Amino acid sequence: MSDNPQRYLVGIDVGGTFTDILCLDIQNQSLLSAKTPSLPGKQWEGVLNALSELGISAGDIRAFVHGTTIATNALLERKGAKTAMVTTEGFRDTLEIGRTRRLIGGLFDIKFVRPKPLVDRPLRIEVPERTAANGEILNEIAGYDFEPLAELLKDEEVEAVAIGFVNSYANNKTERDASAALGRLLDDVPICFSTDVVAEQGEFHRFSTCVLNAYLTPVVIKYLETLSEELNDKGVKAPVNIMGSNGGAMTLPQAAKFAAGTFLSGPVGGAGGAVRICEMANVDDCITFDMGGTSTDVALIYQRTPRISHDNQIDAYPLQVPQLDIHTIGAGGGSIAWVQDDGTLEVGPQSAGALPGPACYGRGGEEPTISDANLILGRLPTERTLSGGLRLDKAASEAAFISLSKKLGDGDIVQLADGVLRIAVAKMAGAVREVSVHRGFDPRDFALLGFGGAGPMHVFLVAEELAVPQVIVPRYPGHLSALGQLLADQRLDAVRAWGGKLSAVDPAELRGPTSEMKTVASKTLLDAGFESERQKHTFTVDMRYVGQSFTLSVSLDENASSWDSVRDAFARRHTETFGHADANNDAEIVNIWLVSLGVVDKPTLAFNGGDGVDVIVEERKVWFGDDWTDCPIYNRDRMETGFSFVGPGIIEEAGGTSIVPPGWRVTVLEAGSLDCANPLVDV
Amino acid sequence: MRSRIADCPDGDYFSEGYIESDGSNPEPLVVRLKLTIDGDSIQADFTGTSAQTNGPTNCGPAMAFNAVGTIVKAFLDPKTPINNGSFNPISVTAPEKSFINARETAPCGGMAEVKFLIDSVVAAAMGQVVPEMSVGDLKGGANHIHIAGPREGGGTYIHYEWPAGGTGASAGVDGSNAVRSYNEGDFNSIQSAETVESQYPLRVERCEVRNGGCGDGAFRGGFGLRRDIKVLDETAMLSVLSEKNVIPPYGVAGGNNGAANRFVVVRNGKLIQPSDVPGKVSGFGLQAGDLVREETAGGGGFGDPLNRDPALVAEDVRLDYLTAEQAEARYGVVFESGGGVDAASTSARRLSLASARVTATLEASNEDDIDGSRRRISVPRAMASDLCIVDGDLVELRGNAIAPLRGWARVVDVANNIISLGPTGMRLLDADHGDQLEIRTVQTAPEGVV
Repeated sequence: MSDNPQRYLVGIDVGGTFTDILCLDIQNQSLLSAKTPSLPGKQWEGVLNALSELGISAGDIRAFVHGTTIATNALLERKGAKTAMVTTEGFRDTLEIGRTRRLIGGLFDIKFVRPKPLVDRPLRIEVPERTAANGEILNEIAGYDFEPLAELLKDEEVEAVAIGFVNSYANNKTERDASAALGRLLDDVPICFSTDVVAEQGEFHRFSTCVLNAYLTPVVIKYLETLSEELNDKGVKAPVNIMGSNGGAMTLPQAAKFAAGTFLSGPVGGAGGAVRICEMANVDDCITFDMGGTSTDVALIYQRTPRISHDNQIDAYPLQVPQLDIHTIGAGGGSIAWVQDDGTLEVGPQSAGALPGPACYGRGGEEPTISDANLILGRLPTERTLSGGLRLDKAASEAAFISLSKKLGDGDIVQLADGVLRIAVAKMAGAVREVSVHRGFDPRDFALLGFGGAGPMHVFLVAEELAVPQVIVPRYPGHLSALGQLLADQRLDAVRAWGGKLSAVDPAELRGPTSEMKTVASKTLLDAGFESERQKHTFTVDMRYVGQSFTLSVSLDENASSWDSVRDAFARRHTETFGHADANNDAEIVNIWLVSLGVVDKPTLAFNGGDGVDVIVEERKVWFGDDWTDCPIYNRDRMETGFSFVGPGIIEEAGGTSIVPPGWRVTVLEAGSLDCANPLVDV
Repeated sequence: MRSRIADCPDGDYFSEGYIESDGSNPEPLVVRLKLTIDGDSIQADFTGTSAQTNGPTNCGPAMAFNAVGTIVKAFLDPKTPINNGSFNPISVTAPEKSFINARETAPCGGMAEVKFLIDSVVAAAMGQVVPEMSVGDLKGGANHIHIAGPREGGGTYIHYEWPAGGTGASAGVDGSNAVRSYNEGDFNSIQSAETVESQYPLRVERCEVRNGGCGDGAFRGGFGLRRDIKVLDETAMLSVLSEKNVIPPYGVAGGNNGAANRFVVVRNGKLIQPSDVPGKVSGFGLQAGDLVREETAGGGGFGDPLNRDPALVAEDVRLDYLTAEQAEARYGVVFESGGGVDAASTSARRLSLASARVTATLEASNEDDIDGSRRRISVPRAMASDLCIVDGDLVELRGNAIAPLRGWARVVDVANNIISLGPTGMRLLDADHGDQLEIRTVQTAPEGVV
C-alpha cells in the first residue's frame, strides 16, 4: 500500500504540567500520542520534544494545530511588550480607573492594592480628537502633527501601541487616521486601534481589550515565528494553526494580529473534542470536565454547541472578545493540600506541576497532592508502572500526608486523604455549577464528560455530588484536547455596533453592514485556503427592550424583509432567560455579530474495541465512600464494544484512569467511549 | 473570630466622627463610640450619638451592626469565609431614635452616608486595637450625583452616578486610586462615558485621577477621581448628596488627611458653589455649557509623610500624580535639575518642615468643651496665628491614638501654648496631662491642590 504523503493531522496541547501531542493517522484511522513535561518559558521546545517523541515523518504532516498558553503566561508574568496608549483628551486614566471596580476580590482587604494598568501613565498620551456619540466628528485628528509623539515613543523604546478614542464604536475614522499616521512614522512597532479589536460601546472595556492585544502581540508574534521556524527546520511543511479562544483555529498571520483572541487557546480544544464525542455518543447536552495536573476546566455544551461569552476578564483586565465560556479552577492532580491560617484544610491553587510533581512521582516533591491522596486511597496502582514508565512511590505519598496530618493535630492519613479528595470534588462541583446553575441550566439535565489526565479519576465523584445521571469517558481521555484541536474549524468573529429601534429601522438597512462584514470575513477565509463552498457565515444580533442595558443574542436572517422573526426570537430568548417577555415594548438592536467558519474535513473517529480477553488485570482494595472495597482493575485496550460491567471498577489505559464507584453501570460504546449510568439517579 | 478577638488586648477604645450636615441644618451630627474588647467578644456602644434628624442622614437599626461587623471582620479576620458564627462575638448598642438607629418619620435616604461614617468611626477605634491594620479614612458617603432634565419627546432623564474615591493607606501599603474600598461591594460607581453620551444630552469631557489629592503619609492614600460632565441642553438640574466635603478623610499614625470631596459647577470658566452647604445640593439649575465637576476624596495617609521613601515620592512625580513643588512642600523631597532626588537638600528640607510644626502642651481639665454636637478645642491666640486659623476653623491634635482628635478651634487670649482637654478628649487622644503634641489645621485640599 502506497503511503499517503499527507497522512497525519497533529494536535498539540500545552498544559500547565504536560505537553500532549496527538496524531491522527487518517490512512489507517489510528491515533499516536505522546506526553512530555511542559517547559515554562520555553514552550516551543516542549512542542518540539513532543513532536520528536512521536517519531513520525515531519513531511507527512498535513495539518498542525496548536493550543498554547503563551498569551496567558506572558500576561500573568507581566512579560508583555512595553506598550503605549494614544487616547482622547481627558481619558488617559480610563485604563487605570475603569468603572472604579476592584475586579479581583478585595472585600474586607485593607491591604488591597489595585493591579497596575498594563500601560505606564506617562505612556498614556492624549491627543486633541473627539467624536460625538452619534458619530459626528467634533475634532478631526487628520492634520495633527504626530511626529513629536512618534519621537517620544521611539525614545522610550515602545514595542507596541494601542489607540483608543471615545465613541469610536460609532465612527472610527479618527482611530483609523491616527493609526495610519503613526504607522507611517513608526517602523516595526505593531499598532492596533480599539475598534479593530472590538467595536462595541463602552470605552473602558474596549480600551482594555485593545491594550491587552497590543501588549501581547509582540510576544505572540515572537513565539509563533520561533515555533514555525523550528518546525520548518524539522521538515514540517504543513501550515501551523493556533487555537483561538472562540474554539476555532486561526492561521499564524491572524493570530499575530489578534493575540487577545488566544487566551483560551489551551483549554478550548477540549470543548471542541467534546462536541465530537457527543455526536458519536448521541448526546446533545454535556458539561466538560477537563482535569489536568494544575487546573480543571469546565464548559457547558448545549445542543452540541459550546456556549460563548463576550464579557470576559483576564487577571484584573476586562477582555471583550468572544471566548468559549470555560470556567477554570486551580484544582488538578498536582494541586497541593495545605493548612490555612485559620487551621482549616485547603487544596490548591498551588500545584506541584510536572517538576517536582506530586510526592508519589519520586522526583523530589514533598508536598501532599491530590494524586498522592488517590494513591493512598488505593485509586492508583503501586505494584505496576503507569504508561509512560512512571512507577508511583506510595511511601513518599504517605510521608507527605503524615507531615500534613501533623499540622492538623495528627490523625489517620487515609481519612485525611479522603478529606482532601472531598474538598477537591466540592471545588470542582462548584465549577460545574458556575457554568450551569449560574447560567440558568440544571446540571442534572446534562451528561458529564470526563477527560484530561485526571478527569476520569474524579468525574464520577463530581457526578455523584451533583446528581448528574450520566458520565461519558472518551477513548484516549488524556488527549481529547489535542483531538479537538486537530478537528477544529477555522473561526472568525466580527462585531459591528449598528442598530436602532425595530419600529424605526427598515430591515433593508441591514444589507449594507452585513454584506460589508461578510465580504471581509470571506476574503480572510479565502486567504487561509477556504473556498466559498467551505465557508459558513452566521449572523446574530445583540438585542434588548428599549430602556434596558443588558442584551441578549438572537439569530438573524440578514435578507429578511421584516423584523417579525427577530422580534419573535427575541421574545423567546427573553422568556427563556428572564421568565417573561413584553410584546408591547419596542425592542432595539445594538450590535451585529458575524461568525464565519472555514470548515475542515473531519475524519470519522471509530476506534476499534479490544478482543475481550483478560479484561480484568488485577484486583485490589480501594477506598470508596468510607471503607475499603475489593475492586477489579480493567484494561481498557482489551474491552470489546458492548462490554458492560457494574462498578466498583478501575479502568486503566494510556493517559487516563477511570475510577468507577460501586453501582455505576459502564458500557463500551461503538466509538470507544464509556457510557456510565449513575445508580443514585433515576433517569 | 473569637480567637482573633481574644488575641487583642482587653480594654475600652474611643472614637468619634461627624455627619457634616443633614442638608437643612448647618449643625453637624456626631457619632460617639466606646469599643470594648472583653475576652473573646466585642461590644460597640454608641451612647452619646446625636438624635435622629429631619434631613435624610438617618438609618435604621441594621446599619450600626453592619458597620461594626464589616470593620471588625476586615481588621481581625479578613480571609476566612463568613459563616453563622462570624458575627456572634459582636454586640452593638445604638441609642433608639439616634440618627444611627432612627424610628418612623425619620427619612433615611442618606443611610449610606451614615453607614460609611460609622465605618470610619469604628475603623479609628479598631486601629487602636490593631495598629498594624490601621488604615487611612475614606471618602465617606456614597457621593450621589444626579443630573436631570427634560427628555427629548417627553419625560425626564436622570443621569445618576456615585463616584468612588481613593482608598486609605495602611502600614506597608499605599492606597489605590478611584476604586471601591475594602468595606464595600465591588460595583461600578460611574457609567461609561460612551453610555452617558448616547443616553443623555451630556458630554463627559474628562474622567481622570485627581492629581495631588492623596492623604500624605509614609504610605500615602489613594488619589480620588476627577470627572467633568458638560451639559448640552438649555435646561438641566444638579442634585448631590455627599459627605466629607468639609471634614476630610483622616490620616492615621501621623499621616495627613486626603482631599475632601468637592462637587461644583464651572460656568464660563468660573467655579460656582451650587449650594450653601457643600456637598448637599438640591435641584441647582444648570445651563447649556455648564460643567459639573466631580472631585472625590483622596484616602487618608499612614505615618509621617516626612518619613516616606523619597524614591516612592519620585515615582509619584514621574507618574504626574504629584508635581515636584507638591513633593517638596508636602514630603520635603527635593529634586536635582536632572530629576533625581537630591538627598542632602531633602534631609535639610525635611528637618525644616518638621521644625515648622506647631506643638502644644496638653492640660487635663474636668470638662469637655462641647458646643451643640461640635467638640471645641481652645487654641491660644499666638498659636492660632502660627496656624493661620480663626475661631471656628477645624483643627486636629495628634496624640498616641492612631487617628487624630478633631475639633473646631475656639481662639482664646492666653499667653502660653497650652491646650486643655476634658476627659473624653484625653481618652480619644490616648494622651496624658503634660504631653507635647502636634496641632494642625484640617484643610479640605492638601497644599498645592486647587
